[in-house]
Amino acid sequence: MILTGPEIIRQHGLGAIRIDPFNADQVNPNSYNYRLGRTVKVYENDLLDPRVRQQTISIDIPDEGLVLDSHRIYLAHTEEVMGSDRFVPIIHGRSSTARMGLFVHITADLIDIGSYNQWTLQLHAVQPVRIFRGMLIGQVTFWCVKGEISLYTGRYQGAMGPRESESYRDFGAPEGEAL
Amino acid sequence: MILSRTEIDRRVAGGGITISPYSPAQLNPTSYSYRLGLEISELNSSAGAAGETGDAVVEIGEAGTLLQPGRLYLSHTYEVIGSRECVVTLMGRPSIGRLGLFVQLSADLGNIGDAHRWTLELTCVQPIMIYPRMLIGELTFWETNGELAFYSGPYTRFSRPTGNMRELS
Repeated sequence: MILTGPEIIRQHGLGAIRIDPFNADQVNPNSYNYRLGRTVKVYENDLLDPRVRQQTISIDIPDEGLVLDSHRIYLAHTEEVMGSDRFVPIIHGRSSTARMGLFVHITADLIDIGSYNQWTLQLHAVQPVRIFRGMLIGQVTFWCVKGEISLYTGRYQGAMGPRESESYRDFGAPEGEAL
Repeated sequence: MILSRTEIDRRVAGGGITISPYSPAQLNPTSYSYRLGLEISELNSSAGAAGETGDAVVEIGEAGTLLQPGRLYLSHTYEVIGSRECVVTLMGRPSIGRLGLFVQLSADLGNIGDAHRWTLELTCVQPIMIYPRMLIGELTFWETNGELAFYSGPYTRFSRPTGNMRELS
């Protein structure tokens, strides 16, 4: 089951959903519109190897916006810190974002329950697209859980700003370590 | 409703969900991390539209395979996955999405029915190395509402990277 907009407002008021800053104007019938934060990261290397820790370059989005090139992956972040211990967030692009050919995640839309961060967005532009900090770029939905809940304790907990991949930790990780 | 890790684990033990091989260490709060299989094929569109030509399936070597942007590759999950009581959806791992690798192309929804190795549609934004059995994606499991009907289409007969089968559907 998916939460309605009024239920998102109610659960935010009860403290079961964190969205900070929260603005009731950004609530939709069954989702919340989040904003693009100010910093973007790109990888120094063109060739990416998930076994290797990748070096990155940070870019602050200037006032006139930043044009994304279709041949690079850009790591951006939500302006809001979001999370919930009771509902599972799933992120989506806004339809107006998608109509410009801009992906806000790369087949990774599930946010772990109990994960509180500025969420990292995986921006990919099909054609060059100009982005602006603070723009309404995507939506988050909240879903009810069946079964006993255990909360996220993983590698990206508490992240502020965009966080590069830590996939290299998956290679040779000891059995039983939190993935 | 989306199943929690406890509920996924319980249903794997009870047989309502098939994940084979299964490792509880790969459970996340509301998903299960699956591995990349051992084989891949690159769609060769030079002799026609994608999916119309026979595409050779090759092994992903232990030293890895380099994927190039602008191409589509079909691979598969290492695990046999399915459920006859809940709906499975398939996505990439956040750590893999952050490297610009798509694991499916706007087709994330599984059918209730028999278990098999799922075909992955890989395409990348920047060149990227992939390795056999690497943790590459996550599965979520959803409760249904209503009478169940089971998938009996052509793809369940396959447990290798399988291209377009529109002539059978």
